Amino acid sequence: MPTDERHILSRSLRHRLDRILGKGRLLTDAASLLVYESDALTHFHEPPLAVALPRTTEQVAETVRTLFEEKIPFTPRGAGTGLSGGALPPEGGGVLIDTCAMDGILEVLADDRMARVQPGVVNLDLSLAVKEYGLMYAPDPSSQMACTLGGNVAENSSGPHSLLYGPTCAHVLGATVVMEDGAILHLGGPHPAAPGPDLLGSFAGSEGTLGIVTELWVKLLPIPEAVATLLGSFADLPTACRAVSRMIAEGVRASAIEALDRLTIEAVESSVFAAGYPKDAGAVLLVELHGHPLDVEHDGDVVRRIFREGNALDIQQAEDEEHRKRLWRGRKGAYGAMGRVAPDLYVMDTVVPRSKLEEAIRRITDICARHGLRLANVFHAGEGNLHPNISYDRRDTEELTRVLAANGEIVEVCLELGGALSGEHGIGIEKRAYMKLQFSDDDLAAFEDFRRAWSPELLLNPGKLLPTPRACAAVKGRAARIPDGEGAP
Amino acid sequence: MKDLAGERILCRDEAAVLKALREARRQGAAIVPGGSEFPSPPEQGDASHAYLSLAPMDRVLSFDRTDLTITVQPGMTLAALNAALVGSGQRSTLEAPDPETWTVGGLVAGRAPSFSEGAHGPVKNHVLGLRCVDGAGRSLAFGGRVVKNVTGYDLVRLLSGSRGTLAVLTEVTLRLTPVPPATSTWVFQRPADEDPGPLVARLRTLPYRMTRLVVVQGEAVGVEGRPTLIALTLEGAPATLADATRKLESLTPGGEPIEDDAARELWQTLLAFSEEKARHLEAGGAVSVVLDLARRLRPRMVDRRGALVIDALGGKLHYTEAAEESDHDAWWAELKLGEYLNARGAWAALPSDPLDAVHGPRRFGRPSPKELELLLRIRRSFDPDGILSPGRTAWSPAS
Repeated sequence: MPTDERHILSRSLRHRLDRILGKGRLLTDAASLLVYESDALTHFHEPPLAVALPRTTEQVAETVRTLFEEKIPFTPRGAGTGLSGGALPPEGGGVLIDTCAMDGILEVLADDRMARVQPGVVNLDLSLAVKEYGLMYAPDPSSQMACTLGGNVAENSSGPHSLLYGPTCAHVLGATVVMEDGAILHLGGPHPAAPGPDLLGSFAGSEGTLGIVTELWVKLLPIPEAVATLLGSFADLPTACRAVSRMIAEGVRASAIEALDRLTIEAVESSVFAAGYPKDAGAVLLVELHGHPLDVEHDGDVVRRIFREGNALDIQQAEDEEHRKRLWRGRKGAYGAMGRVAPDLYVMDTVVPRSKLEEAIRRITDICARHGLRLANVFHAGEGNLHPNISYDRRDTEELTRVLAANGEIVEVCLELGGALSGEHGIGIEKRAYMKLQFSDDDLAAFEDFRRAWSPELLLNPGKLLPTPRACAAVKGRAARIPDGEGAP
Repeated sequence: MKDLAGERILCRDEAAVLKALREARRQGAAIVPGGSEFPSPPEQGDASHAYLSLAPMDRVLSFDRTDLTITVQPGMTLAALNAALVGSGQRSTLEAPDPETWTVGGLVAGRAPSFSEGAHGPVKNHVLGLRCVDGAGRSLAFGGRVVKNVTGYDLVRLLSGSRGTLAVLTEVTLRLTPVPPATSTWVFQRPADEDPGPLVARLRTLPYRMTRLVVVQGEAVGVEGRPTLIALTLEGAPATLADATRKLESLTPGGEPIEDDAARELWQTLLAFSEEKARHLEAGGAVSVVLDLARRLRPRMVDRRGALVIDALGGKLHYTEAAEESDHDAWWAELKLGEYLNARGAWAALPSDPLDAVHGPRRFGRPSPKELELLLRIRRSFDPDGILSPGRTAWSPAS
């Protein structure tokens, strides 16, 4: 639709939605809507027309059916912790469908290691709920205390331990999905994958553009018998990256290999998240091993040897659960700690083959130095998933311009090294223009066809994931460029 | 180019695949891709179809130990892939009944039985990226060579298992895993009339890294006296497996470790059985459901000299009988299997059924016209003229 045209939620439509959702379940007042203008990518704001808070599959389906009839676009939203703008309300006005109130754990089949849940269940809550059975839900995004399972499916989320356990799609067995026209589709179920194309797998990570998840069957895993957490400190990040490469090549079965650089260490150690990382280190590697105690001991010996041979300055191993939690507190609190460096943090997400980690780090460092930006790296080194974090002040528009320019150059470098645009945050609105750098016109056309097969009217989360002809969008308080269209590098 | 009907086309590279598909589209000719061989003898094929073989596309394109990934052409056999990795300390966990003939492309696009999916996940979990040519004659690339990737729709998963109905694969990047420090396979022989459920339940809770756990009943492996066999594979450090040996010896009588060669032979025999002989029923469900289904099938199995192979980690069951059953509907109805499986959220399929779709409209599946409609729309977007493998599946109708 034209940029200057906005959808309108008529009074009669509001009444219809009110009847479907029940009293107080449709938010339309400005104060309530304010918090839904952004997700965790706070550069971008878009006010929704309304926010629906359904509690059942039927309410979602009926709400969607109503919006479909009126041709009002809509966007599903979990906890809004996404970092690529995937849950930003549709440009030009649309309805957010917030599934957070659908937060029931409906069934736990402990012997079969499965659970049936609603999409609003908070990720960590599921693991806590099944702990009594000796089970856990493996995907653990850094935001796991807040993010929801529905959002995790939409983004195919990962976490530090996806190195061993894989991303969300490897743990979802079935889903009930409300389609664009309100039809209800059941994909998979409490069973291994059936023959045929994997609709469920290709739905995962679709960023709310294909349908809305209203129920899930997920896989549970036994809590590992033993956990070992090791910390190796190194003179600099490239040296640490070489140790990562050796661990991969030597077959260390780590569940997590995380890297933090000097600026991050300094920020963490000066904050409430202080973890005891050596302050003189140029980088640290946090390695975790899960499994049978004797397997963990075996792999721990290999890791220590690689650290020693890789010129580690210091090697620690968590002596108890408290020590382990402290080491992880630094990693998990790193983004919060960066608040000490500058008011704003641009958390990038890109991925390279693990053999290219060292080169990628060197070139990213050069790019940020050239743009005069403060770069901190805290990332999933074992998977080649980089998170260059640029500290900046959003009030300084010139600095923001440099941040966005550096972002584009970093993306180009990672693609040149055989990488991909996003390892875990998704494309959303943030990287949609860069899709043209990774994919051919035919690839993008195939994506577009696939989307239209699911969503012929393109009412589901329009403007996300795929490039659009739009080059600009309003950013609250000022005009800023969303990298898109001709603005893309 | 001449009329493609009945032609056998050997493709040596993606350009050849592209040329063949564009010509097939121009002629409106049906074209059926295959990993290794053409239908043999030739008269087995449909004379109106062209057959495309990717057998010459059998090379490793990229392998770096520090990436733990490998990129290969789709005509590479599983045996050749395994050979390429010897000495690297890395392996593919893909399995096939006959590694000499199953190709990587066939494993990805098709579906071979596997007993390690419960531990390692299905084949599609191991495919990081691919290149292909679709029925519209487009050369496409999805995924990549990185192990973590959420860039765009995951069409790698969509194409995995699509049986050549959407596109022809021309390049595949696979995730590898480290070769474990040690491996041990155990076989338990238990009385034929003993319910294997309790022992399976105990084995499943052992704290070791178990990569296979299979129950075999009836005539599957031709063991004299037809005991129930329970076979499992453990992986880990040598000290861990020594600890496991002590535990397994004390757990129950009738169990013993077997040599690596014997283990390989056992697994290949069971994979071949599951591919070739399980003509009566294949089912997937929660482990407790497939074990219960096995109990339900057992009287008939004994009566008909049948056999059951149950993957007790992956939740799959293969059932066959000595004689080919002509009226499946009658005995499925007699045992109320459709209702039974639907009530438990499980699926079932006839391996010989050309539809091979379980949630489809034909037999057991929950009615899902919406899903079929979606699949048909997706198929049309990749193959607008329906030239790729028509009639092979529910979503690729012959007309």
